[in-house]
Amino acid sequence: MADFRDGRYERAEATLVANAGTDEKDFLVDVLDRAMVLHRRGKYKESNDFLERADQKIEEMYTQKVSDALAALAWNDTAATYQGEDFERVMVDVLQAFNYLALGERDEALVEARQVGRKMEARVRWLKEHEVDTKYTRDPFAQYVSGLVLEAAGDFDAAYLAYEQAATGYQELASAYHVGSPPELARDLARAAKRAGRVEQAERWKALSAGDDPLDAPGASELVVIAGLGLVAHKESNKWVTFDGQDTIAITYPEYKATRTRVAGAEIWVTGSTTPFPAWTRHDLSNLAAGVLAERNEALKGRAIAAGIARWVAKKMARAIGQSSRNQGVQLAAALFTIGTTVKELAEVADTRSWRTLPDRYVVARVAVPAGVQDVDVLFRDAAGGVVSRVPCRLAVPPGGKGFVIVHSSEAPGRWPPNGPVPPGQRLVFGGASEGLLVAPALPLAVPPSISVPLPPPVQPPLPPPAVAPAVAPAGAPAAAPPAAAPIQGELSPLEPAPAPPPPTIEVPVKGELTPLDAASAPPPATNPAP
Amino acid sequence: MRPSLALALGAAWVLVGCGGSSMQVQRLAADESVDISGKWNDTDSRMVSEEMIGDCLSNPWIEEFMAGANGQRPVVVVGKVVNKTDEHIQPEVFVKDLERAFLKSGRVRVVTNQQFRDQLAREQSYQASGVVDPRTAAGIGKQLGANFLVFGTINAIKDRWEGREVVFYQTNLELHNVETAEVVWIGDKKIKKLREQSGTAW
Repeated sequence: MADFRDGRYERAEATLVANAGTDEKDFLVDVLDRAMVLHRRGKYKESNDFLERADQKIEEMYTQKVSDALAALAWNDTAATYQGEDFERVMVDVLQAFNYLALGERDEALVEARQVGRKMEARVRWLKEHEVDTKYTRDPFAQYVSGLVLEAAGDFDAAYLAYEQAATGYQELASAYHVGSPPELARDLARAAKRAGRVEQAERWKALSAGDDPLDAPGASELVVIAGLGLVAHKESNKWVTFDGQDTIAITYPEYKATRTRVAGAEIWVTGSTTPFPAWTRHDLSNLAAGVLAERNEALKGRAIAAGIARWVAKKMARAIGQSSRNQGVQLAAALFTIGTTVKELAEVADTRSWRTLPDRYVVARVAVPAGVQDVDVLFRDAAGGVVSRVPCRLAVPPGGKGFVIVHSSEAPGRWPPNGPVPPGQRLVFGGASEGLLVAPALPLAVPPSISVPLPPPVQPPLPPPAVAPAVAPAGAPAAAPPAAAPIQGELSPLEPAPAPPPPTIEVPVKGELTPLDAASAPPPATNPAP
Repeated sequence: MRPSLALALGAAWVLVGCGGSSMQVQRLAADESVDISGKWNDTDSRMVSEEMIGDCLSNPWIEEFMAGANGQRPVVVVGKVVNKTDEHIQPEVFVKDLERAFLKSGRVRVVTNQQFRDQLAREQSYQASGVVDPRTAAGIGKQLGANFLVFGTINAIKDRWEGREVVFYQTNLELHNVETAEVVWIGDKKIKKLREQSGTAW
């Protein structure tokens, strides 16, 4: 994981390939990790090939294998086929949508958006029919991304419905797992409702929005930055052991533990901006994962305790039978059974498999920009304000349309002057720049401790408590304003004489129809809602 | 049965059951209908295109056009067919099937659609570059203009409960007169599939 975390994706992939077993039971987790590594490498088509296989496998898993259940019973849960957590299954479609956006295949991204809608609808229905008590009924981030893709395609009614589902999902999660509702969502809902001709809903959501929506201006072009931060929490095996003086009963269960990450936040700089744009958390994967698993662990523990007690009783009985019988065969069988159950206890380990290459969370920034070529700089900062990694991007934002930037942080040590050329082997990989969208891997950038900058204001202010239904926490005033938005000029490091954003000296391959920026042709600065 | 014999049979079962290859390949005719996942497939594409074009050609627009064009066959271009389902259907395959069905009928002429015009233009430029013998080079400005444009959508409605899923595909196509914008034909074709998946298996 160190290679992956530090952005050495080729090595990370080589390790995954070398370690991938032929065991069918780990197939899903193997292909999910491969898909994410390929995504980070900019190999979007290949990534989608793996995600398609994952999708197919998940579909097949509707058929529960008896052999799996027996294997888990006879040995432990890791002997069974990995089914994937619900939030991981949803991310299969989300990551496919990202890949299609990167490839410039927006129609295919739309297909994924529709799949999310259908699957979530089916899930909600299934949970209700089976009276499953969970707050994770629909995945708000997946619904939100669907809304984005649908809105970009001009299907405003479907986008509104997706945003509405996202709003409900965020509200449900906010009360259960502290996964808050993004404050800008009310605006998105108001804008989509207005464009879909849903007058009543548009007014209702507008009343819950703070300030004017710069994205609602006629013909407004938009930059959408989706940034993945750090690494998702991972599972560890926890054990409850009890001893009755003669026998031990071991009951294990998986538990999520935070994965160490230096990245604490991201900020977005756009051509001509003097303050960074805020990026709101739209998906807190670690919190969600921990919350959902803790909820499920109650049931798992109950089952594990029952299984543990059953084994303990059987073992006691076997021992008693073995001691009382004069038949050597019976004694031998009883001894073997006792040994077998003891071995099983020793082998008892919780299933700690998970899709470990997912980020800790996704933040999203939506910025009204003039149509044309935009330079975008995504800075990933640690808790002390130091820059951990940086992704400079250039993309063409279509008139009245959306340009997408999808990036992830990496944490490699080393230095890369922010204004210097991109080191060999770390050139940006652009996907479909002519379509106005881009995905690029993060470039490591370490600021020496001696010149590290003072702690910047938090990228995201504390989320307000969830709003009362039906509102989804429009969160009031801070919606449009970046948090405290202290200018970053001169803060980045002494290596950088001028304020961000980065100058166009970075060698960026841009597709033919895009013209390089120069002073005369540079578009006017983005509309920064910062005060 | 003696224990040793039972053990031997068990071992043989394990070897036969677990050791053999699970992959088999069988050649099929290209037009043979095979449903594996229940999703939109090549058979659906071919069947829908042939039936819809058959319906399209049975309408009087061809005769009406030919009557006003000295018996000339109409020129058709197949435009975009938008996939509005939640499956990754390749509309290009369906567009090709439509073009093929039109051509097979022999009643209309088909011209290159937008997807391949760039290739044609590049070839023309190459032939006009002086490298190609001018007597054999393609002339510029001689491409046929389309009289009619056909385009449409593929939609799907799915209803799933437990292991049963009903999928309803509806393909809509319409034919427009490019000059007058008159809609001369609208057709649809529906396909319904039931997909069942067992809840348990060994």
